[in-house]
Order: sequence, then C-alpha cells, then structure tokens
Amino acid sequence: MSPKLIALAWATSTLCASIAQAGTLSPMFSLSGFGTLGVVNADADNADFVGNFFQPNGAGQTRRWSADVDSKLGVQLDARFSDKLSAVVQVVAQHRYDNTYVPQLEWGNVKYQFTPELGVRLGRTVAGPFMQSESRLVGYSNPWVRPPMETYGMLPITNKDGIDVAYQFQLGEATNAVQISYGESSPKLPGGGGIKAKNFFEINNAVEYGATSIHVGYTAFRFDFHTPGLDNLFSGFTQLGDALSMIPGQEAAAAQAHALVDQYQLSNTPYSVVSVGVNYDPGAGFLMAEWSHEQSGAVISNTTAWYISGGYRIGNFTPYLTLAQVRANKPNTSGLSTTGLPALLVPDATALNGGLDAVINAFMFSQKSMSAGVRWDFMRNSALKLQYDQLRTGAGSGGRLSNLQPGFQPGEKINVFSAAVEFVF
Amino acid sequence: MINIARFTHPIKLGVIGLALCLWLDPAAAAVVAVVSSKSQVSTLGKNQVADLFLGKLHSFPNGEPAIPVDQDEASAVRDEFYSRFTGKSAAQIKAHWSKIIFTGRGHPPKTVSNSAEVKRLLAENPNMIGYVEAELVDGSVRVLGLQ
Repeated sequence: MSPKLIALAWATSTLCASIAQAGTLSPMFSLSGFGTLGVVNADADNADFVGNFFQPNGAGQTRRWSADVDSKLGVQLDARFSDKLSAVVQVVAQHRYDNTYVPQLEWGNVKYQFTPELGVRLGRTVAGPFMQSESRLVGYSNPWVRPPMETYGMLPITNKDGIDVAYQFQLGEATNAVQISYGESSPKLPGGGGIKAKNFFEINNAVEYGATSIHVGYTAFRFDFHTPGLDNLFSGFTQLGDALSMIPGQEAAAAQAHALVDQYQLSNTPYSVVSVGVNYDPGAGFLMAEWSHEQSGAVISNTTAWYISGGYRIGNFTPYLTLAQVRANKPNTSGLSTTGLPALLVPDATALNGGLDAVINAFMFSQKSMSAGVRWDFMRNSALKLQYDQLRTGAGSGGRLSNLQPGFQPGEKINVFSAAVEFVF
Repeated sequence: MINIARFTHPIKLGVIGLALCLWLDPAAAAVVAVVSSKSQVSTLGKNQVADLFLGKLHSFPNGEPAIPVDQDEASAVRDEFYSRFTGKSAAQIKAHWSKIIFTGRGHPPKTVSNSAEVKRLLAENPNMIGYVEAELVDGSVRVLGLQ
C-alpha cells in the first residue's frame, strides 16, 4: 500500500466514522483503525532519516521528501465471544524491510479474562519496555509525529508471539498494572536477512495516580542477527582462521581469528533493555521523561538514552518540545593482529579487520536531537502535526540514520521537517 | 516564576479574560455525575469518577462492579463532563481510548444518545454510573456528592 492509498483510507475512514460511529458491526465484532499520512524532509546528503530500523530508505540522500517514514495504516478487528473470552487481530501496513507496504500482522491474540483484574493473552502481543511501547504506531494517541527515536530505536521490534499475563489492582487511589510476557520474534531485515529473538521475556509495571503515571519496563532476550554482509565477514574470519591453522607456526593467529568470530558474531547474543518513565498529564499540558539503558554483547554497543518532552494545550493546539539523546559505549577490538602473519594473508586480514570495525561502528547508536512541533486537533478523530527536528549523530556514529553512504560525516547537523495527519476510526 | 508584567498588555489581557470566561462559563459547569437511585453509592472522589470513565477503575469503593454509561461523542454534555472531571478535551479522551483499544486492552464505555437514555438505563441498573445536565436530574437517579 502506498501513501496515496493511505490518504484514500483516511478519507474513507472519516466517512465511515461519521456513518457508523465506533464501527460496530455487531455486538460480537467491532472494527476500528488508525493511520498516519506523513511527509518528511531531511537535508542529509549521505544518509536517510527513517521511521524505524527496518525501513530500507527514507528522507535524505534517497529523496529529500519521503512519505515512507511515518505513513501507516492499521486495521483492527475485535471479537468478544463472552464476558471473559475475546480476540484481537490487528494488521498494519507501513513501509517495511522489502520497500513495500504489504500489511503485516501486528497483534493476533486470544484473551481470557479470568477476573476483572487478571487477563491472559495467547498469540501475538506487544513487545517493548517503553512507556509508549503499546501505542508507538498509533500516532493519534501520542503527542509527537513519532516517539523519540533515541529511546524507541533501542528496541525496534514491536511484537512477539507467546503468552502475556496482565494483572491490574488498586493501591489506595492509585492503579497498578503489571504485565509479564514471554515469547519469540523473527522480524526480517532490509537487503535479505533477519533477526531471530528467542526467550523473549518482559515485565512492565505502570502505576497511575491521578494525572501522574510511572512506568518501569524490562526486556531481555537472546538473538541471532543475519545479513549477507555480516555473514560474509564472519565466514571470512573463519576461512582465514582455517587457512592459518594449516600453516606451521600460525596456530595462535588461527585461534585468534576463530575467537573473534565467537566473540563478535551475532549468534545467541544477549540483549536487554531497562526503562523508567514518568508522565504527568493533567489535561492542560503534559510533561514526560524516560530513561533507558540497553545492554548487549558481540559487536553491539551498550547504550543509554533519555528524552524529556513537554507540551501545553491551547484550545485545539498543543505545541510541544522534546530533547533526546542516546549515548553508546562501544566494544573495544583491534581485530586480528597482523604482525607475524604470512605476507600473503595480511591484505585479507586488514580488510576483515576494517569490516569488523565498520560493523562495530554501525552498531554504535549515538545521537542527540531537539524537536519542536505542534499538534492541531482540527477535526474529530483527526489531528495534524508539524514537527521540526534538529539532530546530530555522535562521533563515529550514524545514530538512528540509515543507508549511510561513504561521504557521511558523523556529527553534522541534520534538519528534519515532518508534517503528518493522524486519524483513528 | 510567572512574570505578571508580561501579561499586562491590553490585548493579552483581553485574550486571557476571554480564556477565563470560557473556562469559568457557569452554564457549562452544570453537568453532574449520577447513579441509579437504587444504588448504595452516594459520594465518590472526582478522580474516581474520572477513573471509572477512563477504564482505569472497574468497581465502586464498596466493591460492587461499576458500569459507566457514556454519551454521544458529538454532545456538548459529554465534552463538558470530561472537561470538568478529567480536565481533558474530547480529542485527548479519544487519544486516551485509542491507546487502550489498539493494544487490545479494553473498550470505551457503552454510549447512549442523550441524558434521558442515561436515566432510563440507570433506573434499571444500580451498577451503572452516568452523567446528565443538572436540570434534568429526577427521582430515577441520584447526584453523586463529590469528595
């Protein structure tokens, strides 16, 4: 589906919403949806500004203006079989890894509500430890055009298949909701490749008291990450190690080459994120902040991110400001030592070392940004947002940008302008 | 700290005055939260009323299940109710429910078309809670005292 079709869907949905409010098909089934029709301009010459890690291109060097960064359409069918048994199917079309808008199953689960407090879901449910993880695709429900990428980019995976247990209870006048889940997820990557996340465990706890809510989330899994480039790099080191092991006197170098593969290839690599967020939203405005820390291994840097965002409502307008940063602590490696290697193999070793270095830099996400925008609730169920972001990637890092070209200069100021119509029906 | 001097320009004062008038409009404040006259509940905190309608709370303080009854999205009484009890605009309420609906965590309250319908439903069901214009209160419903 292209952004044009999303525009058509928006027009149709507004019409539908006015004809059949809440889209009730029958007492048992209800149909609803959400969408964003957005355009982004980014002045990056050698990189693309993208909406998430899985998009193959975006605004910047591929094209100055892109409708692919934020545009999406989600349709959800809810089925209520009884007071206790229900099911949800949500399908989302957005710019995805293969440069198409082929819809993907975002949620698909069956819920059994044992008591009003305790519910268990089986199937595809949310993934993510962040305050807005559950609604990160539903632009209408968020103040900004997109959640701060510094933080939300730490875990681009949005769903997983498994079991999810939610328990909600009162603590005096406060409400506490805890959610524990376990599953797995296998998203695909641009350029042929994929992630396989296993033993995907999450616990999220949210306390709400009046206008204040505090969210603490933790995600942990182990994953394999394959792209043709990465696989070539590590099979290169393996072959070099194999070759060296047959040369007398090179046993130590051979062992080092094989050790580099074991240490840096993304195979059964641990990944965890802990996140703490606070939101104060008395109605007249909002103030929120979130701090997150990601810990992994192999070629992936550990990162710490935060954002602070505030807005003030003036009638139908809500101007807002956001500051965000992600900082990386990159793993140290000097690659395979070339001193003492047979001269014939030195160029190969040097090339492989360069490749490893590039991969480590590619997995070092460091950037900061400043955003200012306004949300205008111009009609029922639809909002227009205009947002300006100024971002700089950290030293040696491409930040959350994608599609980096050889001329890319880390640390350069990049201006991003976004306009988006967000709707629900 | 708010710098008062910055707001004393006549035009700014006019705008602030207008904003205050809209905010303090006495006719607009005449929406009340009601339960069935058969209900045991007589008072609730404003936050509790808000939480019941926002899906954060599912029962009355006495443990009885609570079923909120909402009014049509296009009605003035609805906007007034949410503005008074939650401080939020119609769009903010919509955004709140979008968050819940699209995560499959719940559904907004059942909606009826006017206050007469609210009273008719509440008269039959002591577990329901609704809101109506103050002048439409009659023997079928009880106005909740706010703690």
